[in-house]
Amino acid sequence: MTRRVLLLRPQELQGLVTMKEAIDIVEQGYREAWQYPAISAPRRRVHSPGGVRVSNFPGGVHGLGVIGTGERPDKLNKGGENQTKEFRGYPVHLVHDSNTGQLLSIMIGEVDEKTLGFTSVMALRTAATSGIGFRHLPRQDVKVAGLFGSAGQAANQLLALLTERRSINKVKVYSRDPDNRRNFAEKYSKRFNVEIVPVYTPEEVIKGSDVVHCATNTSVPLFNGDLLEPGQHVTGMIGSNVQLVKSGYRSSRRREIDDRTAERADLIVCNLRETILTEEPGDLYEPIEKGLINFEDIFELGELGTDLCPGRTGDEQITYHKNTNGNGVADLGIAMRAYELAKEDGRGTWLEFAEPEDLPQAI
Amino acid sequence: MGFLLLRPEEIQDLVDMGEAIEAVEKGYISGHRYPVINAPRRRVHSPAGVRISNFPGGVDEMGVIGAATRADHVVQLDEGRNQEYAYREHPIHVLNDSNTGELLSIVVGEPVEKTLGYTSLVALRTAATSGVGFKYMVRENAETVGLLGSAGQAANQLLALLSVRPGIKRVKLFSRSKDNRSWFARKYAQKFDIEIEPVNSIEQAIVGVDVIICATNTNVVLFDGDLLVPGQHVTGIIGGNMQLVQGGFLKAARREIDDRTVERADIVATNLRESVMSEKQGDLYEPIERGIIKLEDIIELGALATGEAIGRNNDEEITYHKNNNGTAASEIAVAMLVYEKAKAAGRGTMIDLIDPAVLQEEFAQ
Repeated sequence: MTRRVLLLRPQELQGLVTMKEAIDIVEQGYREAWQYPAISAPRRRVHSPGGVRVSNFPGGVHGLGVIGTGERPDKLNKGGENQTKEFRGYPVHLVHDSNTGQLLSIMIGEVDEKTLGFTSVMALRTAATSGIGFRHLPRQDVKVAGLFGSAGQAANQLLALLTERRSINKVKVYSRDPDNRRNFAEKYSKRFNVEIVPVYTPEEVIKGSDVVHCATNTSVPLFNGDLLEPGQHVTGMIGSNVQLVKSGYRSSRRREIDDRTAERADLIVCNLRETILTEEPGDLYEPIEKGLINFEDIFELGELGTDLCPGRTGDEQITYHKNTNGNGVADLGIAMRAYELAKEDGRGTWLEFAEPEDLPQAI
Repeated sequence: MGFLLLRPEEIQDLVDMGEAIEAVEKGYISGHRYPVINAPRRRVHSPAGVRISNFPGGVDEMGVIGAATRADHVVQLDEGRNQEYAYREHPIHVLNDSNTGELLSIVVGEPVEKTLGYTSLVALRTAATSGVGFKYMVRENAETVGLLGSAGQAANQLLALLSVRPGIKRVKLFSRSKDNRSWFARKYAQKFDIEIEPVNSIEQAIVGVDVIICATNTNVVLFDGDLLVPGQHVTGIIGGNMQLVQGGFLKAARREIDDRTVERADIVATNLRESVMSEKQGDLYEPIERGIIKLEDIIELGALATGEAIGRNNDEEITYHKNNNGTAASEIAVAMLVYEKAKAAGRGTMIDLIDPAVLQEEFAQ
């Protein structure tokens, strides 16, 4: 007997999954993993002496019938205040049926947001993960958003926010390059039908905003937490891993949000608490080490929206979602949806393999 | 750009045990010299019993970094005394160039020893890993073996030992089924040109032999460590991960070798210490918890292979290798070897991948 497995290539994964679907899937993934932790594991990265890094994302969403792994190679340039890549490889997702264990699809390439297309690294999943925070943490009456960054992550993050919070009617965008922020404002104000204003300083991004979200490639804090105002929600998306420091690739952990923000926040939510211990993401690990916050006081996404952590409980609270990093539960959930849609659409190439038990047995 | 897709049918007859041992040794050397290139195996489980084992890592000495993934549907038998598989999927190996990051190959299927063929799950790399231990820990003058188990792991483990200790002459073999052990003895005595005697108890198999190899699927301890005699080497192959207990599939951590063995062994080695802690593997984790041994006193395979640590000082020591589980050091090393040989033989299918710059031009809207 032979088996059929769908090989999907980068161009065949385009135009399939919307932001709304992705947020729902990722929320389901984290919720199920919180209820059944054995299906989830933190991201794990390995590094070669030549600077190649492979990020691994094992996990699944049983409610969607999927379990498997994602794997993504890249090659980083050393050091600096911003992280840049010499090489960015396509992720490979190995999508299995969580009921039988059978391989369904070998998927090579990013699953990008249906209307935004190919942008930054894992931008759809990263933004959809922020989207869970946007669903539960900003105030009900939010109108103004402050955005750091003007590349693909920024576009995806903003779409996630607008998907969850339709009341947003003004966005202030800051990035280091004035041309980039102007272009971003022009392009996405039309596309998202929202007012986008380029601003000149980090202070302007924060002042008077209801939501502050960061979508840059920085390795150092973007703003001083003392600037935050009561009622604001902050999202950061840089996690990083301590192995970069251990392997001599960086001299210190990457940062994006400062200790003061962690200290001032009334509610901190990360993606998966276990990651704080395995990867030591600086933005949470360092304030814990300094005794400014307690590990036990940090919630994780699976708890958000449950009785344990209903989300924001007062209009004056500062809430902070540290979107530490992607996890298999998010990636495999989105990959499963892309596989189903691609299959329905007749995309991809069917590979035929012998069933394991039909291979020649012991000689 | 593109990569070589290798299917299960295309990788069956490429690697022999000696080559596999050499590759796995390189894998553990690589991880010892540059620890961030390797990571413990990590498993995730679905409520339906499907388990994904993920092996991220690389072997810089072979120019590869990536990950292996294997799915099985695990079923527990006899109230958790043994386990079997309702389904075992082909493992998939994703191989990237460790200097550039480029995808080299996706190898689907399990590399098997070329003279043995497909036997048990991951038998080749498990045995090749034991082989690294045999090389550094078994007495040079060893002649006799007590072998527990009579399936594919047993055949591969025995071949690994014979590959590094050709002086081995006699094997005493025990497994629970009398038929299985007679069958194994007949088949492999001929194949390996060696004397194999089926015996009726574990004690008969292990008392007085030079090397004890455990190659069963047990979940409980096989023998009392007090039966060991000076000069013996013991290899166990069962790791087990605490997520099995956490997921409700097992009531207690899997065991195979008892605490007394750890207590009596002069030298204890394991593949990767981090796995003992991250998976809470019973055979070493429990004695550590009880204060019988310290994690720091356990030697890693990489330290043996680089010569930084010594596997045996004299003929009187009892040595013990807990081959706790495969890691990328073995999975990716063997898969890379398979890829190199398959490529040289002109096998597989090249799959083209679109240049990211072109993709961005066509699809960024």
